Amino acid sequence: MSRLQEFGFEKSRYERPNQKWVCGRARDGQCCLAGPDEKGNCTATAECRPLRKGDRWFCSRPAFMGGPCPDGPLSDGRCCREIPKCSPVRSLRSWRGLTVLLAVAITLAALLVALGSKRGNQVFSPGPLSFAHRSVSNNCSECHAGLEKPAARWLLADASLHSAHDNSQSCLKCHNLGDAPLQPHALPPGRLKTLARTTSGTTSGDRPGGLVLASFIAKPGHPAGQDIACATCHREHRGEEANLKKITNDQCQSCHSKQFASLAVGHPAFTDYPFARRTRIIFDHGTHLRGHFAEAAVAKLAPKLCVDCHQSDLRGGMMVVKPYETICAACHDDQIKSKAAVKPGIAFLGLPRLDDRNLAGEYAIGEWPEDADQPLTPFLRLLLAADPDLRAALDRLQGADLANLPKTDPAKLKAAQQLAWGIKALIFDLGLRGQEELIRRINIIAGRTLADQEKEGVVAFLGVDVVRDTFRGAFPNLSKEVLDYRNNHKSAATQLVPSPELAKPGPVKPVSPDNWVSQGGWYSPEGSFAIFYHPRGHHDRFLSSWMNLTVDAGRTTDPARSLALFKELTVPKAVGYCAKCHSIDESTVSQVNWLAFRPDPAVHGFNRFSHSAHMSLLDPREGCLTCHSMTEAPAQGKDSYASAFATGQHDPAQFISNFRTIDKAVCANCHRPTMVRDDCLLCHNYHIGRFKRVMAHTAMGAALPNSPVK
Amino acid sequence: MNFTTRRRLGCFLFAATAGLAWVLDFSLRVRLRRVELLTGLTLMVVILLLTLFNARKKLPFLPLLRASTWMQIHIYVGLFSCVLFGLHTGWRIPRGAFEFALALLFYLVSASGVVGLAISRWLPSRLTVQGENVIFERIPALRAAVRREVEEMVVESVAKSQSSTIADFYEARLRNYFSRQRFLVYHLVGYGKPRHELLSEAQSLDRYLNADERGILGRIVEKIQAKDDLDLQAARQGLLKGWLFVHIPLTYSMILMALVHGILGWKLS
Repeated sequence: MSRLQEFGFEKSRYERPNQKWVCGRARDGQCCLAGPDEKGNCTATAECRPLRKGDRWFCSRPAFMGGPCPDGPLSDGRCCREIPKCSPVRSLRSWRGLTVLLAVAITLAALLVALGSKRGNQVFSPGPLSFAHRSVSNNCSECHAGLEKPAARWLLADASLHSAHDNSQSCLKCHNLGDAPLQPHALPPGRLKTLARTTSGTTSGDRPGGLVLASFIAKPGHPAGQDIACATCHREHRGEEANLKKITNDQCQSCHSKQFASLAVGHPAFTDYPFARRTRIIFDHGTHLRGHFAEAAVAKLAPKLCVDCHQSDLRGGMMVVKPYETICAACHDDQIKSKAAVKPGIAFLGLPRLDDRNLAGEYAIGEWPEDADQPLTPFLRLLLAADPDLRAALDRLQGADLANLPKTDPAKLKAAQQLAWGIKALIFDLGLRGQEELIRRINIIAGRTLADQEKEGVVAFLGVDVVRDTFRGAFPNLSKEVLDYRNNHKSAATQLVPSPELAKPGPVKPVSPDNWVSQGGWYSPEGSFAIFYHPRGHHDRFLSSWMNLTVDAGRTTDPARSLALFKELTVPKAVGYCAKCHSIDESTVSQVNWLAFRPDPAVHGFNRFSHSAHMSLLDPREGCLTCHSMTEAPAQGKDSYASAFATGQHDPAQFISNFRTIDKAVCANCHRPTMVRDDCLLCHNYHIGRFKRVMAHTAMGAALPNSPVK
Repeated sequence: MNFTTRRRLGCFLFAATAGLAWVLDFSLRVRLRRVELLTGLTLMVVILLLTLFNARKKLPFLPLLRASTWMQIHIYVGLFSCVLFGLHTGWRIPRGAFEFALALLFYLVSASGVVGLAISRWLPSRLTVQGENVIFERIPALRAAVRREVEEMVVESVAKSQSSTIADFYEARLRNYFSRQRFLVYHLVGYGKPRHELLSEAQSLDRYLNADERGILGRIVEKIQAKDDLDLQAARQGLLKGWLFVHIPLTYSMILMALVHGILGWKLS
């Protein structure tokens, strides 16, 4: 077979595929020598350009086109074989260039349309938002501050306006993460450092390879104390089903000083989990299980199962204590209602015995019952202390025997006189103004205005009849005496109009006062010149309110007398036995723990655990003890559970639990790489603190049609 | 440096660079740094570097390494860009319209590059197996020359034999065949059935021809084969050049969109 193409300058033409234009006759193999110009115009005139040698013209047609023609050039030097013009065509390279231009033009046009369009934000959105954020998916500026439509403006926007930290402020409009939301773990600066220093757990084993590698290459992205933008961990625009909380164990540990491989390998042993503080309700499982519940009288009432006293909370995460009425009342109700108590009630107001021999003349106190012999109750002292003069008088009488005052000590006599008139004035004012007077004085003591619920509690339905009837016999002319005294001793605190009702004789009460209050309330024993309060049972508002009022004595205007009252209410076997079970915490805020632990949905601690998720996995015989094994702590002594609640020990962090710390191996038996999830976020929260949900602040008036309030 | 050494070196450098990129990406992610900006910027630089290969081809007079060296760099850097792209996107397909379009362009550019690399490695050897190697730009002219020769043979057969057997066959089966590129797909996939059918038909005429005509038919059969070889060359060389019609225009579109993406990413990060 003959060859189709030849090579050599005399046998074939030189191809120039990079040129834009190709001769229109090239397809037929009739390509001329001249070829098209740069603009695609045919420049052909003749088959050759004759050469002149001397005075003759010679044909220069190349060999691959047939060589010199037989006719030769014309006499004027032109080629005799003219060729008609062709229509040059684009070369393949030129078409490719045009395709590039077309593609660029189409892309530019599409970009310009999209950037200028009102829906450009949807086009340029990196992806759908997560399900929780779907409502903001059409408005970029809700999260990206200052990003207004159209999208073309984004290209020109100032980059500094749209930093991740600025955008985090948009997140915080809906997500309340406390006062330091962007700090590590949302903890105030310095707090984390303290926590890290005091963490007692030690890691074991090698650090994860990824963290070792990363530590060689880069420092943590966020030095200590620097804010961390929300988007550092929460990556949006990854679809509705995306998990915004997804973060790897290595990333979690990136900033931690103690790094380890997994829960099973290297994680510090639990040192204070789950009990980081003592129980709020004082209940010694050891003494109850080993002692009280074994007693014959109690055996029938005693619980048989853990769940007789404990139940899961509504979310199923935590186990909480059932209500008092269900688990405690059967044994402890009588104690609280004082049926089995040493004292039936607690003295509220009472008249002390005064030295009537020396309190005469200059120190006259008017009428004062000879048979009054009640001690000055802490309540009375505190109520009198609302008057600064009386507070000074009480101070002067500190430790004095009121029934035998030294005649040679006029200061004490004067103070005793002030005390007597102060008590009379208090009784007079109470009889006249009733509960309002009591509340007025308590407000002065507390240094604030009591809330309605507190007022109701501290007054506890104290009736005017109780006050008048109790002291009518002691002070038949109280109204006149007090008014006369006040006229002579201007006291700003007690300028009150006497009530004519005080002078009227009261009805005779045929029923013994303490019988009147078998279910709780106020009473006055016959001839005692004292008012007593009988607790109404568990949840007694009077006792709890006075304890709440005085527990933080330092915040009252008279800390000493507030503390004295508080001690009176909380000594062992005090009326109501409140402090027998309700522990008292003294930390940043002192408080009586009226309730057992209740998980607060707003509180986010470092750890989380779901009891309900594990119930079906427990050993049938061991049950709760699979994880919560009891200690062998003694019933009494410094190593006992009770020692944490000894008198004066109010630090909740100092305690001895009835139960051992949970063994990490119990968890790691299942939570290991080949079995069940063991990532950090399964058991730990990142954002720590008490975060209330952000609520809408809608003005009520906005509900009305055509309301200007919006 | 021979081919094997060059390939080993290229693979080693690619693996080392890709590994280093992965380690950097992993480490920065572990350290909670915004690694997307870094990988994105690097990817942009790498893509611009890849486009320089095209520019280099247009500047053959500059002493900037050999074109084959550039080609090797282009191949391995192109593969590296795929790794960078995966790291940049987190090995996920973007969900936004613009970013999906950008990713789609990258996929198409990468895929066309890989296809181009494959065919530029596979086809040239195939082109030497069948027919004469001809310059792509000369094929139309050569095809026209073959057609003219065949037409002359047909006229000759009529003149010599006073019979129109070959002329009729040309008119019925060969005119269209010689007039343009035929059986493109068959040639691309290397399937010779149409050629054999045509040759078989031509040879089946043999019984109706006299000795002169048989001689002419024999030469026509040679031209049929020559034309088919030209078509095969045209199809396969066309493919060798044609994939760039996808690769290059889409590259420029991608660069444009990547610029907008980069500016937005920088402004909003």
